[in-house]
Amino acid sequence: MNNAQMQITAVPLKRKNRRLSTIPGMHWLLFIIPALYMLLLTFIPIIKIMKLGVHDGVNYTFEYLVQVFNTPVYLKVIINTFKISFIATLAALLLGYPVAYLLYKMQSDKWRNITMSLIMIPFWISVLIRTFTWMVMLQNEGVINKVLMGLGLIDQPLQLLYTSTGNIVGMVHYLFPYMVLCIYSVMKGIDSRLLQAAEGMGARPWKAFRDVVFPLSMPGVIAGVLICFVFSLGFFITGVLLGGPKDKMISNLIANFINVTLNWHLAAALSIILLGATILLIAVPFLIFRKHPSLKGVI
Amino acid sequence: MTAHLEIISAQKNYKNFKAVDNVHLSINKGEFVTILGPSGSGKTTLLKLIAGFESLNNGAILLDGQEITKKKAYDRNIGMVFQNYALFPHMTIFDNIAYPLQLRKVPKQEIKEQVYKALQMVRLEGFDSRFPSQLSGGQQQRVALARAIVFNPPLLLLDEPLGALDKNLRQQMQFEIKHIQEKLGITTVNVTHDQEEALTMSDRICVMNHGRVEQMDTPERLYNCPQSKFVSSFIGEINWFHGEIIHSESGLSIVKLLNGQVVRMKAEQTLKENSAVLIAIRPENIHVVHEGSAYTHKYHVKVMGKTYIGDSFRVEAMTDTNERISIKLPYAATKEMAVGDQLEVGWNTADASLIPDDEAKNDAVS
Repeated sequence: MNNAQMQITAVPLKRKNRRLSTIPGMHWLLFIIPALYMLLLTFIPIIKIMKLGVHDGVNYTFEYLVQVFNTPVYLKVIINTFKISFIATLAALLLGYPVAYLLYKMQSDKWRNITMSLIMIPFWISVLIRTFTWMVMLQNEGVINKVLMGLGLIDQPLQLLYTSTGNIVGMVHYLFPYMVLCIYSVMKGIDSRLLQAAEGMGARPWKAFRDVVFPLSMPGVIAGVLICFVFSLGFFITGVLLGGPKDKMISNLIANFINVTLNWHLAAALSIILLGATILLIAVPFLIFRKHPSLKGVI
Repeated sequence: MTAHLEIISAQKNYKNFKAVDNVHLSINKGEFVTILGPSGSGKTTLLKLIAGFESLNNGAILLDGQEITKKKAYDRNIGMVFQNYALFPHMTIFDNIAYPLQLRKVPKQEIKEQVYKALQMVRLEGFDSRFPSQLSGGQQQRVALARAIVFNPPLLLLDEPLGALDKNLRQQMQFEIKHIQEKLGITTVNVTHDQEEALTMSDRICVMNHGRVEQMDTPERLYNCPQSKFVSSFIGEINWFHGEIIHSESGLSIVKLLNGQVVRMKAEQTLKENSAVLIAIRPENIHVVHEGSAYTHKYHVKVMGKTYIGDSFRVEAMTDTNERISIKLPYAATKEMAVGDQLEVGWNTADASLIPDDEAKNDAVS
């Protein structure tokens, strides 16, 4: 083509006067569609189920809630749920924090990406498959027991499957990536020069970590603990497949009422307690830590 | 006077890249030295080596006569102000400044006194209970300075401390930092790429390029007697007249310029005969020749353009040998001047410096 022949013609900018986007208030549609979806398909059913817990079909009543608190077995399950959730969250924190710190300290992008993938890959595999995998690992003839016996550390296989230990191992495996990501995402924002500054002023590495990185990573720790704890409270399949009879969680009890005994009122009452506890758990730390200087701009 | 901070053949490589290449530096007690260079010249790496955040591949660093080469950063007892201030966002101003004292297990009452003294010095009384995010950039800068001097370190390092401030504030802070530094008599190493900052604040300036020290001198000497092509062009404006050494003897060199003129001048360094050289002259040292004015050398030039630069005019001109020069002239002298005019300009050898022409040398090799 001959460049000299090319001519630049000014093309007038033509706009259609009446486009959809020019109708006033049209952008609200983008908000209204998902809002309606959430309202109709999520919140209304939840409220309806909840209502069953405080309504016997004729009148509002606290009968079912009182019944839950008056039945030692139900109460025990609730306390147990919180206990297991607490242990699993703590274990995830103890395992996750050092890994997040390792990621933060890593100089090489390549190794950080590899570590990140190792953390993320289990995250993409279905919980059910992972739980079955743990069954294979934990059973009496499983890999863990075989290795321990092979090394001569134990004579008898340890009972791991169908115990609280098994349950918590499975839960932590699920919670771990959430914990690491929560903490790492906050740590990543900590300027590494702050550490240098502390060291330059005379702080040894451990002291610099304690005075700088640790307090500044607290928002991530709080977020990770909250998310993991709330997840733990709702765990269902892990307890059934890996845990023992004592490891029944609230969700197992609720499922039992819905599917087996068909007592939907009690199921709803338990759901209210679970939801109430969850909201309380989020609200209390929020109110305590709201004014904390290190959380400035985080919440 | 013995050197307070001494750097001996410092070498730092990142894989095959020589970030700091055989640097010798000797800084006296109480001296304010600026390491000046373009980005990538190795100036920040050199500062990190002194602070202990990077370790040397070769060489040694001595502070107060003691070798600190192998010491960790936390054992070096050096105060440092970071480019982005690096204040701890979760601590109050008081806690930030008290931090180095707490690490040194200073009694509480004494910490209080020291911190308030430091706050007073940087004129931030009453800010002690605020958080860094509640302070302006200039104020954060002062806190960083207070934190770096509160524990009376023998050496203060400044890593482009004024880079993030606007021009007016920068000038004010230059003055204040210099004032505090003189008051405390603290040996200071400042790193910057801002030549004006370097010229106004420093007792001596160390110009770095490609990991090497090009020249270390007082600001005046650096400006008036640059020793290399890089230094002459990096600080201020410069004109170069190309020439060749035709004779060199006991510090006196005879240079033949492109237009055939012969210049006799003193050279700071021994230059080989027949080597390519440059005669470097500042724009303000080239004058228009009037009757009765005596200059050692005169040139006929053609005016190519003039630019108003506030206090004077900068006139761009071309010599007969096609060398572009820039002359700084007062308004009166340029009033009648127009593009294309012929002009006779003159200069004195006393105002010029003789420097080797590295690039010409490289051309000859390749």
